[in-house]
Amino acid sequence: MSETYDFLFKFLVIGSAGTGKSCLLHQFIENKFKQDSNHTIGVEFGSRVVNVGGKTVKLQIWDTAGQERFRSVTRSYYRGAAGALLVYDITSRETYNALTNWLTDARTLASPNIVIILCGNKKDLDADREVTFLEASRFAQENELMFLETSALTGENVEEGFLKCARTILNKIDSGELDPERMGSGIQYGDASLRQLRQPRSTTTQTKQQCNC
Amino acid sequence: SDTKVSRAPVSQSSPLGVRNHLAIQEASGPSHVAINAISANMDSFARGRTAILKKQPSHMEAAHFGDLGTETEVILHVVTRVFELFIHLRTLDVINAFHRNCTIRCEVEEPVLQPGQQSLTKNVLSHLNSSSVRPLISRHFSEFLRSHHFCKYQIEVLTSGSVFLADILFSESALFYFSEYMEKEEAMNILQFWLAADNFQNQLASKRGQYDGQEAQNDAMILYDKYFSLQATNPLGFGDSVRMMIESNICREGGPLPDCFTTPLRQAWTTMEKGSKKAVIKILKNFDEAITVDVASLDPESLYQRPYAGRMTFGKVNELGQFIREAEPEPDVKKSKGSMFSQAMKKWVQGNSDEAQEEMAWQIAKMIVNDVINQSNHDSPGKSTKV
Repeated sequence: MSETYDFLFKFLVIGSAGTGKSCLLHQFIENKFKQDSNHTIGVEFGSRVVNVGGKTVKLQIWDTAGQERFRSVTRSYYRGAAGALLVYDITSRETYNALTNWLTDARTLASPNIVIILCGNKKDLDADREVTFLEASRFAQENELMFLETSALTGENVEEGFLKCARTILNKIDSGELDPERMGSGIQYGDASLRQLRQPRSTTTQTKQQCNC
Repeated sequence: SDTKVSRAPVSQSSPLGVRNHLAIQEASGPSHVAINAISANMDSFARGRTAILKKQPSHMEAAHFGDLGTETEVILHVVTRVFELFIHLRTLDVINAFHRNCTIRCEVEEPVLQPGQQSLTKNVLSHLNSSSVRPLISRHFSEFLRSHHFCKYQIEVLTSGSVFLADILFSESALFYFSEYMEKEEAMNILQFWLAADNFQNQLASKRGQYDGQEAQNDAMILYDKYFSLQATNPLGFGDSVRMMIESNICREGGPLPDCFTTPLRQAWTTMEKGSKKAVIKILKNFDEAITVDVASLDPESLYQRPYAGRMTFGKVNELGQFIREAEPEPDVKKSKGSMFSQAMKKWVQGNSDEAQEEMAWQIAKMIVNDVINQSNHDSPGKSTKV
């Protein structure tokens, strides 16, 4: 049952209530739309193994409750997340306006190096749109976020969102910007990469001999 | 392990709704639960360790701390012993404590150290209380908490067979590994249910005055539909009796109470606790891997030899041996003192409240410690070893 993978990443899905966080997760994992979705009590999670840039990466995804009354509870799960999907609903300006708060929470409570992708969900409801693509992409740019418009209903861009985030994290690992060995990085080596690690390491790792803890 | 189960986050239900409310609030806070569980584990560990110390020939222990030489190291060593003494004090009932102190103090002085070191230790002990040494001790104590001795101690606790479920569930970095483990064991539903029901309970208990029966019922129904109903999407496999009890809890007039899922929560806890022993080993393996820079040249001893392993610790122990978590600082939750009513309620139940009892126990422990220090200051060496 245990699949081999090179890395395990901890992901968060955050954003206001009713933006479709659980549906995005469900679509990503089950490849179908969750018709009768309830609000999330605190936290749920799911996982999926994906292939990114020749590496197998398992995403452990924590889907948090959007409702304000669960905020203090869900915040405690932010710690040690490597990536996050920050979700708003393109048909609800209110959920868009709340983004700054969610972003502050994520940056302060999770790792400061957390890689965040902004997802404007419910792309299929274009007729009811209250937030333009341009406006949101400016916001993303200003806050150094990646950005996609998604639809949990049709599945459009859902996988892309998760993959994009995972790819960025991998790139940061390769460039040395992220250190998977640091506690709370939200990254774990899988069995596959551990086998490689057990062998004498290449020169690239020699540079980080010093453990700065 | 009985103590551990009864100290699980789900408090005993009580016929009084309001009392219940308070009890759950007190018992369900992560730090509270973790401290209880950790100290329970540390207690049993310390007991076992003392037994080993008694059996072990002195030279072995001396070899273990073979580098004792300078006064600093002896202080550090003594602090280690004193720390163990504090752990004892934490659990012993007050009457027995006096007798035990002397024994423990003898252990500190005798079997552990070689003759030359004994007198030095006595010297150190006798100076423990003097004002000139006090700052030194307090400095060394915090140093000790960051030292490899303490780091090693924590790892020993983790590997000693005592299970640390609370510490896993309330430490996000450990939870990251633990959930991966649970998934591989195909026990994800139990963990998910536990987290969700715990969230439900905490959220509801923190509402106090603004309890909304309809909302609470909706929330409870979501968990019911997912885990307990006959058509549950993620059935946990509980029997009819549990299901029916939950049904009646949810349908309670005025809405479900925070303790709605107490029984299955407790069972989930017990189940996970069984699994967590194996998980701890795996988690430790992962921790090892996470903190080792070069796996190829891994030397197990080097794991502990990191001078300031502060971030690796789960918490610290204050000068009384009280465990203070630092693995999970609460993200600035405003602690309201509660309504006037609940404050009054607290006063009434104070005699029974765990918090009050614990506070009392700490006060008494402090007195005992002071007493021991005084004795070691004034008693002749012959007298002190007799009792």
